[in-house]
Amino acid sequence: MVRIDTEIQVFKEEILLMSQRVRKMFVIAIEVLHTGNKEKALSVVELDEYVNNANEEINDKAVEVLSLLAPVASDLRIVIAGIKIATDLERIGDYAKAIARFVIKNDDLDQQLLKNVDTIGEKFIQFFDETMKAYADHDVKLALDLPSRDDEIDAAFKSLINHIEDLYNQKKDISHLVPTIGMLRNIERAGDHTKNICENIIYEIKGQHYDFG
Amino acid sequence: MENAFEIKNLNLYYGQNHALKNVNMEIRKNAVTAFIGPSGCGKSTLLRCFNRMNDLIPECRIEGEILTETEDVLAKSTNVVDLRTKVGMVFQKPNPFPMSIFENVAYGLRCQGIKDKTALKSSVMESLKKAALWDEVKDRLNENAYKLSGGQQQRLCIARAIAMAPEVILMDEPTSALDPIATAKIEELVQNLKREYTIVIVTHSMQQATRISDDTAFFLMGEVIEKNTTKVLFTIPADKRTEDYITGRFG
Repeated sequence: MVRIDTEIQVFKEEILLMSQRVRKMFVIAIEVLHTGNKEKALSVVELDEYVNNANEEINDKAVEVLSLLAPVASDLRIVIAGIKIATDLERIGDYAKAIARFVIKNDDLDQQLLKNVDTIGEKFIQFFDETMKAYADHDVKLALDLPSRDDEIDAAFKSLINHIEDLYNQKKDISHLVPTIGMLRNIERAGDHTKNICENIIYEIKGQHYDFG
Repeated sequence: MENAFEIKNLNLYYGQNHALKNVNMEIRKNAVTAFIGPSGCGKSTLLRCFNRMNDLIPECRIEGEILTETEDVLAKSTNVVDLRTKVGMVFQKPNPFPMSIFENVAYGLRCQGIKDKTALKSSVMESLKKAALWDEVKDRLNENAYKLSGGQQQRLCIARAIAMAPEVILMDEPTSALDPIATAKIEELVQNLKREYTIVIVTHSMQQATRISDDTAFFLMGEVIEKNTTKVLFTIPADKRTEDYITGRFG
């Protein structure tokens, strides 16, 4: 195995390890929304530190590979796509942290509303898992198919907004729900960043830029 | 014609050895085209076809055409002396003549019958300026060219080629014997020269190809596997053999 093969393999493994930590953050963040467990929510905030460090380490590794090994063609695309994927993962981590902070600061969340979170959260975790599978397996077909999953997340979020609008139209007090809706938008945003990861997987494999909107 | 050369169905044999196999390629005018590939793949052989240097090899046989705007380079009727005036060449190792810096550049002009001293001086100065050497040698034009450093000698050879007012400059690994500073000067020079000349360069340095060339052709065992803009060839190569070679996984 030539040196660049080893370095590229380490680079990709670091990204996959980072993605596992981000996933863990998100799973806990969704869980504590229901349980209100502030201690566990705090663990998400702490994990974010690791994720931020991982992003910096991946950037450092990319600089090392670029400067010492001058990669071209597919090697170069793996490094460029990897830098962008790590940035998206870092942002997804930030969204999980924002949810956890919300739980730490707020008590007695509207459980009726949070029922919808399970749907959106499950959809997101599935989307995220399959996206990282496409990255690990170098599966361009899967990366091309996956972004439609984000539409499902957007639709679920939209239906939640519609539900709130209905309550408002029925002259019900929704002021206590507004912060919760703002918090749930974090999941929808995380879906957008996962879609970006799909675009970068396609660039890595095919060298073509896709914009899924 | 937008191309300096159009190569059509070119086959070249050294005796029984089929060294270039059915090459079809265009060399764009005022662009730098790099030939890359492992040793013995045919890149220097093709380069030498452009100014008929292979004529000097007795067992060499060539089929096909290399068309310019006015002629077929390979045609028997082509005047090789005129051709080599239009297509200059710089070699791997600097090869100044054992004479002064001035005379090295003036030599070709004198051979062409130019005797007027003012015209010679003016042409030598202009060529040395274009080769980015003038400032370093203007006060020592009568010194022996061998006193120059390797990098300066190579730029002197480029000035010697430029003095003949060529259309094309061929470069066969022009920096492989030079240190990084002299290499950088030659590379910068190549970038400037392409405004006036078409440049074809053989290089073993992939990074040099990416730094200075507009187009790159990858050769393997006498075949041109792929030719494209350097940007595309080094980011999304179409052929796996190109990818394997440029990423260092060849063989």
